[in-house]
Amino acid sequence: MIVASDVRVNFKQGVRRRVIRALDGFSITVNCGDVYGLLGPNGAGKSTAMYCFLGLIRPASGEIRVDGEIPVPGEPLFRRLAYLPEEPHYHQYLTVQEALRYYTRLHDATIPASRQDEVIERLGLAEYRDLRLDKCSKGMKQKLGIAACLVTDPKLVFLDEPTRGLDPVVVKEFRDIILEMNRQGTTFVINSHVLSEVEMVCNRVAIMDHGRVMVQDDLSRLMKIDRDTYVVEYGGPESLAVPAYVTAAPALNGVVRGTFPATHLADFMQFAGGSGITVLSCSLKRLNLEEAFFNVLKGGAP
Amino acid sequence: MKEAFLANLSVHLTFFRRNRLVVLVGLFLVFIWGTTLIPSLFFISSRDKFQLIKMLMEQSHWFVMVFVAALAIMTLSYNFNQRCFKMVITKPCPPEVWLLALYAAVMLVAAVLYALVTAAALILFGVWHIPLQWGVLYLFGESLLQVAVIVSILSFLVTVMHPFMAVILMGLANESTFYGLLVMLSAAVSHASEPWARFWCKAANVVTYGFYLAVPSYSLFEKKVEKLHSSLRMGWGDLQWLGLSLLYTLLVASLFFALTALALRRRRHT
Repeated sequence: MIVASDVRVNFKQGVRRRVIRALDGFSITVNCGDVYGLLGPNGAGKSTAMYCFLGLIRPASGEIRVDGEIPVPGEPLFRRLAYLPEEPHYHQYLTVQEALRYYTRLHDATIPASRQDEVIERLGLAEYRDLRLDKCSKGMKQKLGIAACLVTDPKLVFLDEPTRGLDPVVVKEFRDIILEMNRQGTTFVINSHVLSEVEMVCNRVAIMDHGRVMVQDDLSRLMKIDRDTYVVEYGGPESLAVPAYVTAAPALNGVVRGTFPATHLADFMQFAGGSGITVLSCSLKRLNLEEAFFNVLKGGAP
Repeated sequence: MKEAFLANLSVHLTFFRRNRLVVLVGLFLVFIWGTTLIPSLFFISSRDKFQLIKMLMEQSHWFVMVFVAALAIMTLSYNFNQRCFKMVITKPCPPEVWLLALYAAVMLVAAVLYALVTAAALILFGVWHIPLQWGVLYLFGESLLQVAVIVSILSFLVTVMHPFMAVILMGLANESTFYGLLVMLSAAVSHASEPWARFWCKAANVVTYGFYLAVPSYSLFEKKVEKLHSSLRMGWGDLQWLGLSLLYTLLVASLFFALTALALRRRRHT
């Protein structure tokens, strides 16, 4: 669906026109049906990469193909794409309904008004449909962006920080929409700082730093199981001394979370039986995305 | 493309209607128009009535031209500064369609305003029992073509530079400035006593003449229709100048449309 190979983008900054490498040998492959997360610290080049996918920035070298075509703004390729920008750059003088109608008309004139109404209802914008965008909150503008993406039934959706400014209810609704559209075959590229959110919706991620892709893999492989360590949660008296092989964090709401080497599993079971603690859970440790992310940024393997 | 054009046209017109700055500019122009013209309606001798109609038309045409140019500048600046142009070109809508819709919206407003001015002039002709002069219709067409040239050049300048700089450049680098410079340099050439001074003045004269020819004209056949402008009398022969002006306007507007479209494609919209 998207192939970027050895893409380089340079920006010139300041009076001396100092060259900054925004993308430096950036290469990724997004397959059809992926929910692909672009992760990285600020300045890693995530937004620049997204602008390249949309043809808004032309690479100095390398090639980007989106659905088999080199993206050029305004071309028919965009009939199959949708884009939700990081900042709501909408026509602020339009009302919610007018803006949605405008963006829909630019996209595809055959989309009926009933479909627009349906999307407006679904995102809870019905009572604000006649409100001008300069009077809308950031969350409402973001909802409009989501509505504009949804209404055209695109094949590929680019989401730049999609849940910024949204309340938890809409975040959940939005997540459900992504997963539902993905089940129907829509591919997503999501640029987000919220790792927990990426963890919940993405099947593949690329971790970027300094304009390069450090790691690109399936999320399941990044969040691998550590077979050498167990994670245990138990409840019991706070004064209870734990064996030296257990690394335990201070109790939170009466629950202690700790880890111990897999070789001590039998010892721990014996300790649990003898001390009278209530073991709430005990499983092999699974690396979460946050840990994988920081491992990669520290220069190690995920 | 037709639907995208109509959608853009409608949104540009909505912008004109709702933008407070546009309304302020409009009100300001109406205020100036009113303060200049209304008192003279009450203190006028009958022989000056024709002159008053002419003045009304000239001033109104100038105000409309400024107002419409301001609309074009504000629309472009808004779309660039608010970065909402990005929302247009990330849809299957080429920048050229958006730009064409902007031209159309601005020209539509200009046509309506000029039509109102012309209608007002025709009404005054009738009310004051002055024989109707068809030159008012010529002025309507000529002014519309002038606006088309100005809007196309301004659109290009605002796309490649800051709007303030664009207005300054438009005000300075025009036909009459270079004509004035040519007159000055010609005088300098004939009065220069030193050979090197004469050489540099001649060189500057040639360069200035080049610019004078290259800079687009806002009223190409001004000298040819001088009589029409003073008497508002139009003969069939005058229509040829309007026809040629139309051709010239189409040429200049197309050239600057292409340049603006190119600049829009090259500009970074992130």
